[in-house]
Amino acid sequence: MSDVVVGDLVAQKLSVHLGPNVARMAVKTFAGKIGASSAEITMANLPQLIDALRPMLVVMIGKEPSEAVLGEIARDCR
Amino acid sequence: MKFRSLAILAGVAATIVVTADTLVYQTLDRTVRPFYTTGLRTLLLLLVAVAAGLAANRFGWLREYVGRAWTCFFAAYSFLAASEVIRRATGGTTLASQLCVIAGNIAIVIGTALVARSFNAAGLDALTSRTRMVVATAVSLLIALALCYDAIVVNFRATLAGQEMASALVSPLADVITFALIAPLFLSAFALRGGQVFWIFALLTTGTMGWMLNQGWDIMAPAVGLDTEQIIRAGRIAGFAIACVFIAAAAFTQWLAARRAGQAVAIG
Repeated sequence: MSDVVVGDLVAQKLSVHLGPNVARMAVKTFAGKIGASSAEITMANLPQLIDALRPMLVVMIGKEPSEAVLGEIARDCR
Repeated sequence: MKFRSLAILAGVAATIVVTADTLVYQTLDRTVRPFYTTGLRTLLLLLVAVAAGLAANRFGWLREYVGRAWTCFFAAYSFLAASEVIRRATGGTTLASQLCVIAGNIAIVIGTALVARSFNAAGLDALTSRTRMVVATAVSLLIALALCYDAIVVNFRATLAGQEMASALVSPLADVITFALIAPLFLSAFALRGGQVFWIFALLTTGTMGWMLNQGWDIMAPAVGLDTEQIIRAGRIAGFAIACVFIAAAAFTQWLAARRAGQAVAIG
């Protein structure tokens, strides 16, 4: 999978729950927190992005649904 | 079931409740009407309490942020249902019913505030412009004050005259805070459009608008020449039904979304 697509794929998975606008902004915000831009998310720093997204997602949709979404992201980005 | 269908179902249910109530209430004897109204209000409040309890339970009650909000709504609507029953059973306002109203109103404020500040708690506060949020909150605060002004003044005077307990002021003051929080709820729902969480925020926003109608109808109806006793009661019950049915639908949507995600984990 092309590295460039990873950030978009994460946003796409999040958008099911948060809508496309919030999903895009969330990826941008939390990618920034790990020192990258959305376009710089690769398979190498994806686990860090997932860890950064977890607390946000737990607040928005709860722990169990968050684990499901983040698990799906990790699986589908492989 | 799709969340959009749930929202439509909530709208249909609220319409049926209001229509049925209008038809049934006319046929009842005057002595029965207060008991009927208490019964209807208690049932609607219990509907929210059960739905909120389901959602809270799904999120471990106070363990998770989402669970805390639904625990507050569960407590709030349970207290309010208890106050209805106590007031009817004792034939008037008692300390016990007042305490239930105070606890219920405080819990609604906390629950609504928790949902309204979800974006802040999640670290997504940059999503909505600060200026837009301040302006929208100021506008909703002004509307809230306009809707609750009469109730605050009447209860304040009654308290000073010793006719009411100071606790009577808690309900309209809590309403002002809850109604002012409709701005962040609405802006969050708007930002979330296209996602599942949108429906939870949109249903909660609609439910809060129902409470605004319930509280403000006494002022709005006479202003447009609709000041008969029947119309005022029908408007207030409509607001009550919209609030309860839509907030219950929000809780059920939250529960359903989490349950589906849980099933996806189990299958995966």
